[in-house]
Amino acid sequence: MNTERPAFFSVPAVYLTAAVVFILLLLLGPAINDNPYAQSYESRVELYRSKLDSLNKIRSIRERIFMRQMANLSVAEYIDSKLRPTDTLLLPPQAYAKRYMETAVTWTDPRILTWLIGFRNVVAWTDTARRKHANAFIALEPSSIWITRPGGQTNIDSLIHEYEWSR
Amino acid sequence: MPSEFGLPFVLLMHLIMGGSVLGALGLRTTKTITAILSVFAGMFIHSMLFFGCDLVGVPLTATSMFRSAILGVLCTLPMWKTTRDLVRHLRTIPPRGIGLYDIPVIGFSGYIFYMIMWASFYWPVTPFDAMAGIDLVATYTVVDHTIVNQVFTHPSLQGQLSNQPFYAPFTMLMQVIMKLIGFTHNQVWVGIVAVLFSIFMWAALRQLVHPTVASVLYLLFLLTPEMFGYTYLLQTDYVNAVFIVCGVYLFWNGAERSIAPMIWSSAVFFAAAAWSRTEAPLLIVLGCGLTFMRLKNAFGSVKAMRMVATIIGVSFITFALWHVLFFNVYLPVRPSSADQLVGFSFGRFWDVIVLTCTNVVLRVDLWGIIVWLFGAVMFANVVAYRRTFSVILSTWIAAVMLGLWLAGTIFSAAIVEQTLRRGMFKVVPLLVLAIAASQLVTSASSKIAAWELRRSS
Repeated sequence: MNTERPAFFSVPAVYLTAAVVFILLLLLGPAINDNPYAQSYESRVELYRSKLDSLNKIRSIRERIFMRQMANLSVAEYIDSKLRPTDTLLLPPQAYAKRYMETAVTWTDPRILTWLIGFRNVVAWTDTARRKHANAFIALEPSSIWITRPGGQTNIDSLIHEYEWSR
Repeated sequence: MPSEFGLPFVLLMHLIMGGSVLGALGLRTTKTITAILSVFAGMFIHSMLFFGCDLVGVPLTATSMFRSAILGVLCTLPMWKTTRDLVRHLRTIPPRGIGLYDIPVIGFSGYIFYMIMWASFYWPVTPFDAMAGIDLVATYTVVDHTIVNQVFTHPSLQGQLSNQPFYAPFTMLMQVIMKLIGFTHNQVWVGIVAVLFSIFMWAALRQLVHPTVASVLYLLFLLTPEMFGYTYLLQTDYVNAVFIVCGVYLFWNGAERSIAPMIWSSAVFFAAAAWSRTEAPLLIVLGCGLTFMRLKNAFGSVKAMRMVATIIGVSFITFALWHVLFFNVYLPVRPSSADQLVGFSFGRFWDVIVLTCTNVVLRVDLWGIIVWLFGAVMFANVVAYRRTFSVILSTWIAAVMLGLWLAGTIFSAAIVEQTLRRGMFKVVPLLVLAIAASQLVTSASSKIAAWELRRSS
């Protein structure tokens, strides 16, 4: 490569600058159909830039986590608020929760639940060894969730059967 | 120490630490590349020292984190003479200066960098793998002051850990360091690495070709759709790609120009790659093995053997520190990685290659035009000059692809559309560098440079 330094401002420099700007506009512009650069730029840069002011007003970390995790955070917080010290909660299989949630279900994974609310006395559905010790269960219906315990209104055997069936 | 002072302080420590080690190894390159490589090397060394604190039973707290950073710098004091020589060398390099055509690229990059830093600072950790592994372990390392924390012992997670909490530790340790500085919920260091790596790519391209050509290739790299998405997401893949690419860049330059210190320096980055992702040693062995003859031609067989042995040796040491020593001596539970190993079969290997090509490599929505441009330039290069790209660089690209295919074949957990897709992060920057180093592009670049000089004088 030539190491001699050309002038900062010259006719070729203007041409080359125009070329760079043209290529940049071509990459980011809608001139090309299904332009992957433009689509990616729109969804990863422009979208945030257009909402930067309103997003920056959201200071709470909880709100920011909610924007990413949506109902997964709400469910985890519900569990956290309703769990009793004596409870051992059985987390349902993901397929059961999927039937009632539109967002991708992650809260049924005990690692994600721990990340969201910290360590709680829970048992994963796949933990067949500890499953029998569970004494609290999650029941879901469209737009509602509750924790049910033996002796409550929900038949636990039917609920477990529904868990198994949903797999 | 408040986070606004803590972060610059730790980054300065990384710069000094890494710069001293690279200086001692005799690395001589441009100011920008030296500074960026120093920060990356410093991050790696600091994470190792901090990990060492846990090994010897020192609680992982903000105090031990800052002290380990200072200790890292103090350890480099005996290398003072070589560090001073490096600084002297950098001072002798005249400033490169910028051209008018650099202004739009600098302006646009500044805007993109701002958005990357904003996103990596603003958004909490989001990827499933990070929430279930890297960040979960990091969070409870800060709570319990040790990596052997509740995540590995609490009954609710017994038998439920899968392999995410056992990922190679660099990303997790950087997350711990950032949490101890005060960045508790985000991944601000990922943005810093992405911005520095982008500048590194621009500087490396400008060494090869005319700044205008370098800018165009740099913009194609910077805006690569899939890679851009990971500049603010906490995952192991992007940072591993950074280390692999820095290692290959130094190895390639060292072997082509017969500069031994560059090869020795590349060992630092290959070791960091093995410290940041489990399959890296496989790629390093393949890359070193396939390029050995070139290395032998440049340095003779004894020195080449010593170089390859050092690179592979240090990579395996960092790999073994976590995967052998820590798993077997310190952690109370083991990952289920062994269960995920399946025997090699040519049928599955072929399926992985076909799936990778059709569902990952050739997709324009993931990589833009880079892969196709690489193919087109290679074809034109062969037609026009009867030769392909730089043999060493092409071989490394082939080695990385082969390594990814092998990993996809023997690990049942490696899913082509996810694991191997992110594995392509290591290949894309190398493709960009290979395009720039091709005779076709360098010839065109020389013509542009000659035309610019002729018309401006």
